[in-house]
Order: sequence, then structure tokens, then C-alpha cells
Amino acid sequence: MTSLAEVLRTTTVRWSAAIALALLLQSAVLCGLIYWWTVRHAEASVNHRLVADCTTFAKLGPRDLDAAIDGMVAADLHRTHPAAVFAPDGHVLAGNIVALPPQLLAHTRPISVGLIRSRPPDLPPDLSRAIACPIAGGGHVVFGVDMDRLTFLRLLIGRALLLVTAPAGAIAIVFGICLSLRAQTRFRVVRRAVEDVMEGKLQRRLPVHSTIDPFDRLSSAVNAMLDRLEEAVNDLRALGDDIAHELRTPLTRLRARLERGYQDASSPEEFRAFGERALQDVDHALSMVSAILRLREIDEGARAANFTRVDIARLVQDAAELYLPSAEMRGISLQVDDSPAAYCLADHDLLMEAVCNLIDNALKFTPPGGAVCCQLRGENGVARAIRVADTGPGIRHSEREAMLRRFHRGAQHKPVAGHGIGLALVAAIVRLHGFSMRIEDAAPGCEVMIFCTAV
Amino acid sequence: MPGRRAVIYRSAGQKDLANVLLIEDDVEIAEEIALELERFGHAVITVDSGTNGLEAARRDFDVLIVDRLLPGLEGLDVIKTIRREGIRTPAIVISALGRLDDRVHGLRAGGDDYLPKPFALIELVARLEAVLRRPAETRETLLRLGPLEIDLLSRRAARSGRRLDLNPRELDLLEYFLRRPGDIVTRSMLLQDVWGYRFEPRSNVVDVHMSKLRRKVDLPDETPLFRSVRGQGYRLDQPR
Repeated sequence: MTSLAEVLRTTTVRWSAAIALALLLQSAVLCGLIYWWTVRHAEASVNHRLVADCTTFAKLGPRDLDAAIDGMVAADLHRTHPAAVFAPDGHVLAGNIVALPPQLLAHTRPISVGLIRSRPPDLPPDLSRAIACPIAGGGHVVFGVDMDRLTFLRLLIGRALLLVTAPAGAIAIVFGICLSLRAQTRFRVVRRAVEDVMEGKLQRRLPVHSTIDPFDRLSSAVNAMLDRLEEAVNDLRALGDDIAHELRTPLTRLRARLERGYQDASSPEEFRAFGERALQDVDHALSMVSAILRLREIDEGARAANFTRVDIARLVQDAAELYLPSAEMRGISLQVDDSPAAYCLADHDLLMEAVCNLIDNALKFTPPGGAVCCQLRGENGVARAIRVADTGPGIRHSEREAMLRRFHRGAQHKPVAGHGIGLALVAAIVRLHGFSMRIEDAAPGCEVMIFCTAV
Repeated sequence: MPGRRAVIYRSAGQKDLANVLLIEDDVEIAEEIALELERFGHAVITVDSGTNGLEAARRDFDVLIVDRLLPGLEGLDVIKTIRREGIRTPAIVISALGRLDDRVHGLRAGGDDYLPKPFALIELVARLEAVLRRPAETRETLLRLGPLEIDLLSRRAARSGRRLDLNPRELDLLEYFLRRPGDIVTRSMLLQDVWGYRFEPRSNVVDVHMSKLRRKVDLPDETPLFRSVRGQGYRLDQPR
């Protein structure tokens, strides 16, 4: 059972907590900005109004100004907008401010200052935002706004924002927990699937819900890897079965031969003869193992680095030259078209091995008196296709694809010795080059084409 | 099987004995290899671990046969160590690891040849003789062995004055044998060195070429110069 401390230490919980914290931080920054902007805007609005009032009233004549100020003060029922007119000697001519604060005279813009009101007279100075403007005759008119309003506004906005932050925090935490649970659920599903694969259930796959989500894309990639792995394991399993099956025949023959030699041989010479034939059986089995290993080596593309520009016309002629005496010995005519040099990018040794296998196969299945024909088709010095045709029994249409798989031997080919691996080897080499191949009816006989153009 | 003794196949005076150090931990394989090499006149000392092999390899041997997977110290490490110490004794690596990458790795570690298991014992003998002879490769253009001779400049061959009608490939084959008188030459050596191919054909193409060459060199009434060696290779002998 996983303890709470361990759960809290998991990556999913940590990431979720980090996201929740980020959301909280975002709310706090947002509220701070709203607070700062609102307060700043309120102060600017007060300042603007003070400056406008002050400059407008300062332009009035002395009598009109005093009357206007007294009227304004009388109308200010809440006593939040103090105002007064001061004579050049500093005594009050009109309004409800008792004394002119000297610091006001040093500023042309509104400042925060304590103002003593005339009614009620015993109260301490009120902190106000105020401005003094000179008037005709040398006096000053003063306008103020009680700062209590601004302080209250700040308090109001602050509280409102705090009220917003609390549910935002709660939402962030709930969101974080949901996120964590969801992530943990997905990881749990993946872990179970991986555990199943580890137990040998190679067909198990991870769930994929969408093609855009990165997690689903990762799951798709893992599934593709599992597909490849399953294919490789099945291939390996099939290879093992094939080898066991194919080796059983030579081993049974070998056993029978040794047994017969052991029981029947009456002289060292006879025993030696049995021994020699047994050695041939062993060599046959070993050559099959070598061929299978070679097939694997080519399939794994271990030699892909040796690609060079190869003259395919020359290669086909060289391969035919190797088999010419064998063809003569069997009474088969081996013909090679004398083509001009034609090149393509290939691994010389591997392609030679492929062409040799095709000629070898063609010779094996062509009866005496028949013919095997090797051709290169090229254009302007570029090799297009290699063709090896024979006048043997041919390969049935239904069997042509199967012939490219290892150990498959056509119905017409059973009486001829071989491993059933030659064409599979050619197909593997063709695949490694990115070329393609086709088995056709040569009427009579069979023709195999290797197309030297990358698919 | 203690007490088994090699039947000597090699005729006396054909070749000097080679001192062979065999480093192989599988006792039965080691015994078979040693018996086969002794049959061909070589003296074999066998050790069964990498560490003992390294110690022994520092002594005076003509050739080393080293298995790759050994207890104590890996075969390739043995070769790398002696090469670092400046010991140039030719070494043949034998191993069950037979992929191309493994072979390249073995040769890069300082091996002179690489023979994947399973192999025919005669193949090992042939490779060993080839490795031993390697530094003495002659650059002569007129090669002779008993009644046989080849003029490599005029590309002509003759036996006891009888002109041999050989095609270019047969001439190359004969030259290969004349440069290795008395040595066993296997099919894979011919395919690799004369044709330059590194794959095993699925049929007996090399044998067919050899049989044509032999028919031209050894007429029915002449002493055969070519010999088949246990179905795996050939040897060109000087007639006694």
C-alpha cells in the first residue's frame, strides 16, 4: 500500500501542485494589477477635478469668488470637499478651512496635506488632497477632497479582490487534484499494459484516444514499437520452428545412415563409406544453418554501409562466368547479353550473391538441353533491371509470393536438392537495397526480374 | 579420449613443423583440432583459459589459434594485449560469433584470420598454412612446380612442355595453387581470393571449375598433380 507521503512525492502530484500554485500566483498578480490600476485611476480623477475647480474659480472676481465658495461649502452636506479663499495676509475671506497650509503654496499640483476645518472647530486636521491657486489681488483659493473617500475605496477594492482570490485558490487546488488523479490513472493504465507485455502478452497495447494529445502520441509510438517487437519475436519463433523442422530431415537421415553403418558395415572400407555419406549429411545441415544465418544478417541490414556505384552489366557477366562450367556440365546453354556498362548504387558483393543465387536456381530447375538467359536492361548508362530466365518448369502463379519466403519450395521443385532459401535470400538482398523483384512466366519456364530502382 | 594419437598424413620433407598455440576452453574441440593439426605435421600446445593463453602466447610460437569466448580473459583481449606488447605472432580467431560485425571486430583486434564455428577441420588447417606462408608471398612472374610452369607475363601455362589451353580464370586458379605448393586450398579460399567473392554459393560451382582445370592439367595417363582433400579442398603436390 502506498503511503500518503509517497503519493505526495510522485511526479504527477508534484506537477499538479505546481500547476495549482501557478494558477494561484496568476490570480494574485491579476488582483494586484486591478487594485493598483483602480486606485491610481481614482487618484488621477480626484487630482484632475481639483485642478479644474481651482483654475476655474481663480478666474472669478473677489465678490463672486467668495459667494461661490460659500455656496459650494454650504452645499457640501457630507463635508468631504473643503474649500476656502485666503487674503494675501492669510486670513480667511470665505469657505470652511481655518488656515492655509504653507506647503500648498510650494506646489502647483494637488498634494496630500492636513486641513483644519472651521466646523466643527475642535477636530484634528483632516488628511486631504488639496491645491492652492493664486487669485487676483494676491490671495489664494484652496480646494480639497477628504482622503477618507480614497482610503475607503482602497479598502473596498482590496476586500473585493481578497474575496475573489479565495475561490480562485480553491478552484486551483481542486483543478490540481483532478489533474493529478487523471494523470495517475493514465500512468496506471500504461504501467499495467507494460507489465502485461513483460509477462509475455505481446499483443497488449496502450489505449489511444486522440491523435493530437502528446500522451496519446507517445502511446501510439510505444504501440508501434510493440508491433515491431511482436513481429520480430514471431519471426524469431517461426525461424526457430522452421530450423527445427528443416533440420529434422537431415538429422533423421544421418541417424539412419550411422545406425545402418554401425550394424551392417563388415569392413573398415564399408564403414568409411557410411562415414563419408554421414559427413555429407552433416555438411548439408551446416550449410543450411549458414544460409539461415546469412539471411538473418542480410535482413538486419548489417552491410548497408557498403553501397557504391556498381557496373551491373559487368556484375551479371561475372556471375554468369562463375556458373558457365556448371551449365556446360549439365548440358544447359547459359547466355549473357553483351550489354554496355550500366550503373546503379548497390552493395557489389550482396547483389552478386543475389544474381548468383538466381542463376544457381535457374540451372537447378532447367533440364539438360534447356537454356538460362541473363540480361541487363539499362538506359543511358543507368541500370534498370536484371532478368534471369530459364526454360524449366516455371513457378505457378499462386506460389510466386510464397517462393520468396524461406524454406518454401514449389510443388514442381520438390525432387531437386536444396534448402528452399535461395529466392528468400535474393528477396532479402533486394529489400535491403530498396529495389523490387517479380517472378513471371517466361513461357516456357520462369523469369525473375530485379528492378534496380529504389522503391 | 585420452591416448588418441594422430595419424600423420603429411609426407616427410614437405613442410617444416609449425609450433601452434591453441587457446580453447572446450576440451573436446581442442582435442579434435590438435589431432587434426598433428596429422598435418604441426606441434600443438593447448591451454584452456584466456589468462593462461596470454602467458603462453608471450613464448615463441609460429601461430596462435584463439577462441573468442574464454574463461578469465576474452580471446580478443589476449590478441590485443600481445599486439600492444609488440608480439606479431600470426593469430587465427575461431568463434561461434560469425556475423560480419564479429569478423570485422576480430580482425581489427589484431587477428590475421577469422573462422566462424562450425568449420571443417581441414578449413582450419588450410587457413593456418595460408597465415604461416603469408609473409613469403613471391612476386616472381615465372612459377614452376615439377613439370608445371606458368609464365604470368605471356599468360601461358604448360605441363612437361605440353601447352595447357586454359581460360583466364583457370590460369588464375593454377597460379593460386602454384604459389602454394603442397598447401591445402579450400573452396572458400578460392572463391574469396581468386574470384573476390565473400559469400558461399549454394552449389558446387568451385568444384566444377576445379574439375575442368584438373582435366586439363592431369591427363588420364599422367601422374595426378592435383589431389582432393577430404571433400573440402584441393592440394597441388610436386610429384616425387
